[in-house]
Amino acid sequence: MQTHLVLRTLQGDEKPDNAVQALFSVQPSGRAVVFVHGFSGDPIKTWSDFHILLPAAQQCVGRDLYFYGYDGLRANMTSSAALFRDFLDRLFEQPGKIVNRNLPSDAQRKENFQYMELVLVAHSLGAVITRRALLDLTLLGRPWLSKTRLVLFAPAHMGASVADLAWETVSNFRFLRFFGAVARFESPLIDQLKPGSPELTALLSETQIACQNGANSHLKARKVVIAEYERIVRNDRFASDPPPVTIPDTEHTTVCKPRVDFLRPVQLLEEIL
Amino acid sequence: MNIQGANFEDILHFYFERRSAATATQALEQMIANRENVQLADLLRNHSEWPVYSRRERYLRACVDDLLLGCDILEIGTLTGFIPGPDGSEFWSRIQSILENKQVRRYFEEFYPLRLPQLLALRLEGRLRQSVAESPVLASAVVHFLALDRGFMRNLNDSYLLSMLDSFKIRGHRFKDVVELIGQPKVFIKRMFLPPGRCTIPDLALQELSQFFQFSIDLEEFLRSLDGSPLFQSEVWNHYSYWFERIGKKLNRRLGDALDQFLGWRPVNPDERAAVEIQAYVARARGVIETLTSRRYCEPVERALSHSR
Repeated sequence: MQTHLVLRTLQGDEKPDNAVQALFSVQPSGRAVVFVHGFSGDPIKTWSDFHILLPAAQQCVGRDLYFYGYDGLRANMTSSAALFRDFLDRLFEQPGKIVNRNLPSDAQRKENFQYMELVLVAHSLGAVITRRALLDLTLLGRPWLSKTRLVLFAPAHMGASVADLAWETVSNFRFLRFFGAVARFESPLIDQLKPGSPELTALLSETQIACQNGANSHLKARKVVIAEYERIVRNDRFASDPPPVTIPDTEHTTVCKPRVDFLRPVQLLEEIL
Repeated sequence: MNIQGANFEDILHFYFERRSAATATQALEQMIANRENVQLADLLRNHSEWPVYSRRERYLRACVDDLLLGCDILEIGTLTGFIPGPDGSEFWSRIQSILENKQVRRYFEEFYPLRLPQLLALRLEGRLRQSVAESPVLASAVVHFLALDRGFMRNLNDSYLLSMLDSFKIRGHRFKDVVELIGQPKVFIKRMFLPPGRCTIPDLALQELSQFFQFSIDLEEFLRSLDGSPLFQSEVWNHYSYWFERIGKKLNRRLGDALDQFLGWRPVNPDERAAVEIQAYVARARGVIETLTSRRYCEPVERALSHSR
């Protein structure tokens, strides 16, 4: 049985919509999952094969799946977070508009279509972007934030040495990492993601303040998944997040890439859905 | 929700409302309606008998190729029940009138044989009724295929790389220039990291080469997952038969030359893992290209064609 329509890029000439891929459910339940890739990643490639395996999962049948895209190589972290914040705002405030302009006429939804739950799944730098966006939305007092839930894969919120990942943006040749690709590459993210950087320090302290006395539970991750052989990010615990779950035999970039013969990332996400 | 209808609309939007396919539809319909048979035969001639130099003709022929790629998708969609079959509606009638035209037929049957438009034409004539038995995973397999194909259409179909692999020289650059670049790891890496605005044609072709290898690996994996549906599997492979069959030998040899260059790479700081990883990558990519350029997946479609004629 077909659970989702064909993968499509959201319509629109401007960022971020033209970099967002979506799988819309054919039996929408008002729930969605938004995947946010990490440093240098690609909206689909980072999470491959979530886009193939997840639609078939029982808990996902009615959920729309968004694969959010942004410039994870050269763009400033705070700017990327602001763009994502705007996207989330529109997804909650005008979901019918976003969804219906991207659906064929046979699949149009009611004008009053709303999302009652949004699970944000972020990898690496995506975790920092997502946390910053949620924090800023909290300061703005958005009432729908309680409908969001956060799941993180190999988050970079405690710092990362990301230049080693630069090769991932420009090619699929993984072996480039042995050839000094780092030396060729410049990005504001290298400094912004250093452990103890002003941006990460502010993110942690503002989150701790916002979560005092159990407030703003949407800022606390529901699940944190880390790689056994992590060389890129620091795995220290962030604020009041739960202790992480480790997936054996994975690295920073493989921990979020399920395959038919490696379903652990999908199973861990399903536990939250 | 009418899922088949929604799928059909999605396919029309992506494959037929593109400027190129829409241009081809309009141009061919006009020439057919005006009975411009000689002009049509000229436009759709065999380039090896009478080369095509006119920019307008090249553009229109490329548009016709895009239209025929869309016909591939209609055939695959109909075979799998992903879209409603031909029902005599305006759209299907327009496609039928194009595919049954004598000059258009010679183009995709004789000069540049494309099997899926031929199957679709037979289906429109009511001479082919084959379909794949419904199964719980069939629709998701089609969704998977269309995601793969959209990536191909977006990143590779009009790429410099594929034109070069097809022996075209682009503003003085040939595929051998790309191979030479791969032979120089430092230059290769420098060029891969150039910001988009500063990339030259060989730089872009290098990036496309990485995408093409990944696409081929994904396609081969997907085809293997369809082992239980040989006709569907064969139709998917035939959709890319221009690359993997028609110019398959050339493609195999040229990509092999490119892959060989990687084997000579040595990291500045000796690391055994580098050599192991490169050899594994090259072996896998080479194996995938060899499989795709073989005729392993060809036969079921050929059989369906010969049975329906």
